[in-house]
Amino acid sequence: MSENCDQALADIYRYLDSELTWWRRRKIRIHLSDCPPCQCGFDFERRLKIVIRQRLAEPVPQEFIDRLHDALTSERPAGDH
Amino acid sequence: MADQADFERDAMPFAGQLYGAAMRMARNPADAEDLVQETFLKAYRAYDTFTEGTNLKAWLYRILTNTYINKYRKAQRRPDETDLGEVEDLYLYRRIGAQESADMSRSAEDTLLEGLVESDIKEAVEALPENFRLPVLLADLEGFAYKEIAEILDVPIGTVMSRLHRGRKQLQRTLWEYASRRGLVPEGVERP
Repeated sequence: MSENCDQALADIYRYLDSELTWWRRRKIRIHLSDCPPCQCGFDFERRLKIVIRQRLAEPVPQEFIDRLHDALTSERPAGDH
Repeated sequence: MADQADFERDAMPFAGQLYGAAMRMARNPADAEDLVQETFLKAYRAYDTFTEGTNLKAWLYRILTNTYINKYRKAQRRPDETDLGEVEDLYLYRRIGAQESADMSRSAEDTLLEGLVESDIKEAVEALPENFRLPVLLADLEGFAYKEIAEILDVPIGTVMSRLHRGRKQLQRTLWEYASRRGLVPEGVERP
């Protein structure tokens, strides 16, 4: 049975999350190379995933890292430094 | 068995990442710091139960999410179980991708993806119900595998997949609303 659009789209997130077997992955890749509309949809979802990850990035304040270090140090048994 | 004396050396490199996730859970820096600090202290005290050579990052995230759930579920004003109902797949793409030509579609996609700023994405993630927010954060921010997310959240892998799927769709719907408000959406595209 040849791959159709519905089957490919049903697996889009597992494909983008690298959660498919190589065999399933390969079948989807073949479908995408023959189906520009699906390829565009997959490309968009991939770009969106990257944008979300990049823009969720949160710089951690150095003062907080220092406080965390102090908190851990004060947990240590006395004499263990 | 891991040695408690090595905890700081082993775990500190993950502090920044945990802080990023904690910010989206607690929604403000003071509570995020508390959450990470509590996580690190619990992890330090329990470090001799951690099996060396296994997944330290996932172990820390498991403590983080449990700490978050225990701390904040009690404080929640209302149960966070509801979702916005059924949202179609590829929600954003179908709304902007339906342009007359491929070039127009591509340019509409660029406008949307470039125009959604950090605060849009952060607010949209924070607006997700907790059941969806945690899997989305673990997958999309941290890049954990489904199996790892299942272990961190202590739910079956099928539940992870369905919550992730529904969470992402809701996220897209919220992003679409923000994009419409900002005028990032092509003329003539029907607003939801």
